[in-house]
Amino acid sequence: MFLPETKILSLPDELLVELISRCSLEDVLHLEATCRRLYRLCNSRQIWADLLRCLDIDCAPDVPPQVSMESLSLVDLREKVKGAVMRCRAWKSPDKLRIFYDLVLQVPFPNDSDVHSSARLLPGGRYLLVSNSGRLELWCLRTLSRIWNAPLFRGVNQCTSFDFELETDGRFVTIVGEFISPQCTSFDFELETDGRFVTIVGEFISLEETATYLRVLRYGFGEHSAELILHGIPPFPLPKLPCELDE
Amino acid sequence: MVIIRTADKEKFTVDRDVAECSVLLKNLLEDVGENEEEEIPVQNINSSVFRKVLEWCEHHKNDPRPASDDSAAEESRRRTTDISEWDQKFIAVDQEMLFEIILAANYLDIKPLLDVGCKTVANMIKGKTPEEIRKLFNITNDFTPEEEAQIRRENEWAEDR
Repeated sequence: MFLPETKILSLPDELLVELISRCSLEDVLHLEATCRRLYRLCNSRQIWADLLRCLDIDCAPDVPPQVSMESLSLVDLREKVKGAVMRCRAWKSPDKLRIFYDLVLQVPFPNDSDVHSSARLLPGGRYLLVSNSGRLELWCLRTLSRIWNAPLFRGVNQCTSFDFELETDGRFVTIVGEFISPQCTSFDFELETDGRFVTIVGEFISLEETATYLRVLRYGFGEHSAELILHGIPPFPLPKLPCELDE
Repeated sequence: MVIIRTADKEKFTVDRDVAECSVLLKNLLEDVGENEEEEIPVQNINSSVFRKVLEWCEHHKNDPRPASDDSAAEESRRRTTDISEWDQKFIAVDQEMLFEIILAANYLDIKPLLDVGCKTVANMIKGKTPEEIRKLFNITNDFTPEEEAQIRRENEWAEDR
């Protein structure tokens, strides 16, 4: 009986995956560069989730605790592994520290406000939440474009400060903005149990003529739109987001 | 004792506890019961490979059987490429035999042997460049130059330290 010579590529996919799963990160990257079939097999979620899991103590991958590894895409997993390795390397020898992104955002400034601007990067590093002269805007760092801005409040943009939290799997961001006169000396908020409750903590000074409004907006990255969940003058009785399971 | 017939019609008389290193054979033997006359065929394996596999089973017949879904242990073991001295000597064979052993271990469902085989290949790959891996395993580079350049660019971060 004639049998063709058994070579590595005569192995079925499942066994090649078994092989790859025993290789180090560096070797996986070398293997995927050899041919198309191995490239395809090296690029499976299972392989990269395993690689990420192996890194977790040494390199502390940047995965928020509320994000399950199962919800991450292959691209995300690869990015997380890369980020973890690079951070670990930078930490061990800071001279290797380098700039990952060097982006220039062309943010047009509206003229109707003199409120200062500030920007904060959302966890995950893909979106930038900008308070642009009082207008809340969400910028995508991949496309370098603005994907959303908060609707005007009483005809003007007067957001003086904001805070945010990503929900469960990063599909929503809940933003609390403080509008008009800055009477709130400080505030913070907490999302509870998968974004079903929001607790706002702040110190507010009450004056009769002017008032600080807090508005809670929830932006869905899938829906590309936000809903206004709540707005009003504090102090609120601890506000709750609308929720199905509310008892 | 049980009788096992390989693809090339060779017959092997094997101790039951040696044969039972293989989950596949163990299950087949359970079906057969105590009828020792019956031959068990293994269609996918040739005698030369099966002899080698039996050698491994003979040496490891008293090892504790791996729990079927012990995923935590599996996890910690996966990326370590330590192989016992005996296994290293056992698996020092040419590439064709090595891959045949891996195929046989998979078919016969002998997880620890599959592990030894896969770790051995992983060790052969360790530290080699893509070109060296291609040469070692006789892999044809079927990327376009552009694709190759792109992969190199994307993986640059891992090389530089």
